[in-house]
Amino acid sequence: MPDNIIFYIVFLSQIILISYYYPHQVLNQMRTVIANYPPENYPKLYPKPVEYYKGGQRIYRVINLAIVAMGAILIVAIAIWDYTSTNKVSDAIPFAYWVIQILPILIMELLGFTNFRLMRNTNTKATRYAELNPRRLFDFISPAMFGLAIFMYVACILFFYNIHQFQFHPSNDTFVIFVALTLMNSLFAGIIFRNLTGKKSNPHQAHADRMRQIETSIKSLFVMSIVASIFLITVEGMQELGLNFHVASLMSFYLQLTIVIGLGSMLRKIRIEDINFDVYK
Amino acid sequence: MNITINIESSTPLFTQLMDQIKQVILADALKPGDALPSIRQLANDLDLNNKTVAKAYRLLERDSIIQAKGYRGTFIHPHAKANCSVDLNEWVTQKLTETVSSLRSSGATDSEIRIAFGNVMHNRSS
Repeated sequence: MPDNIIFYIVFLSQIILISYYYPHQVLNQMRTVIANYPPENYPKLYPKPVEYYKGGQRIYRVINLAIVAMGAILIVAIAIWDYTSTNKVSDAIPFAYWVIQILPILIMELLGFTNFRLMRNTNTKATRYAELNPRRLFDFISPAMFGLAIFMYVACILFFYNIHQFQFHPSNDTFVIFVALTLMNSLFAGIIFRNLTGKKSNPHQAHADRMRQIETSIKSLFVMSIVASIFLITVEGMQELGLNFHVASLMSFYLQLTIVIGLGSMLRKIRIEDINFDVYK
Repeated sequence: MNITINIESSTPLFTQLMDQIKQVILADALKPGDALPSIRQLANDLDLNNKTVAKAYRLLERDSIIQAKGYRGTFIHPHAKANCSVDLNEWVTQKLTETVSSLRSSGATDSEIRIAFGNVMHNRSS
C-alpha cells in the first residue's frame, strides 16, 4: 500500500506542478508585461493587437485546467483499474500524461516563434547592430559541467553494456539506449550551436538579455543531459534490484524535473524587471 | 564593443564592416590577439549573407589587420593598428595616376591606355 501512495503523491505533484503552478507563473508574467509595458508605449513588442495575446492567455488557462481535471480523473482510474489489475502502476501512464501536459507549452513556444517572425517582418530599421565578441561554449558553462555531461553519457552506455552481458546489437537495450541518448544529446548540441551562432529570433532584443537567455538555455540543456543519464542508470539499476514498482514514481519525478530544469529555470533566471524593454519603444 | 551597419547606405556592406572593425581597432577597443566572432556568428547577428562577412574578413586579412588561425578562429593582427592607417585604395589610385601620367607624357592616347589596362586586367596578350 505505501508503494502506491508514493506514486499518487508524486503523480499529483506532476499534475499540479506542470499544469497548474508553471502555467500560473507564465500567465502572471504575461499579464505583468501587458500591464506595465502597454502597446501604446511599446509598439514593437506587439506585432498583433493586444486582444490576440489576451485571448491566447485565456485559451492557455482553460487548456491547462482541462489537463488538471484529466489528471484527477486519471488518478481515480489508476486506483480502480491499472493498479488492481496488474498490481503495479504502468510507467507509461506518467509519460503519456506528461506528453499531454507539455502540449500547451509547445503551442506557446510555437506562437512565440510566430510572434518573433512577425517582429522581424515589421522591422523596418535600416541599421543593424552586432557585438564584436565571439560567443563560445565555455563563456556560458564551466569545463567541469561539460566534462560531467560527457562522463555521464559514457557512464550510462557502459552501465547498460555491463548489465546486458557486454552485448551490443539492435535488439538489446544497450543499443537502444545508445541510439536514444546519442540522438537526444545531438539535438541538444544542435540547439546550443544555434544559440551560439544562429540568427537572433527577436530582432529587437537587447544584447545583455540575449546573453542571459543563451546562458540559461545552454545550462538547462547540459543539466537535462546529465539528469537523463542519471535517470536511465537509476531505472535500470532499480529493475535489476527488483524494485520495478517504483519505476512509475521515478518516471513521474524525472518528467517533473525536466520541466523544472527547462521552463522553471527560464522563469527563475529571466526576470521581467531585468529585461530591457526600452528596445521595444 | 559593437558595430553598426546601415543596409540602405550607398557604401557597400563589406566596406562598412571593414571600416567599423578598423575604427574599433584604432579606438583600442580591440587589442592585438583579441578574438573576433566567427563569420557565421557575425553574419547572423547582422542579418547579412555569410559571403559579405567572409569578403570583409578576407580583405582585412590581406591588409594584415586580422589573422585567421584555422579552427581556433580569427584574431586581431599584432600590427593591426599600424596597418589600419594604410589606405590601400588611396595607394592604388595614387600609383595608377602616376602610371597614367607617365604613359600620357610618353605619347599614349587615353583609348590605348584603356585597352592596354583592360588587357592586363583580363590577362590578355595584345
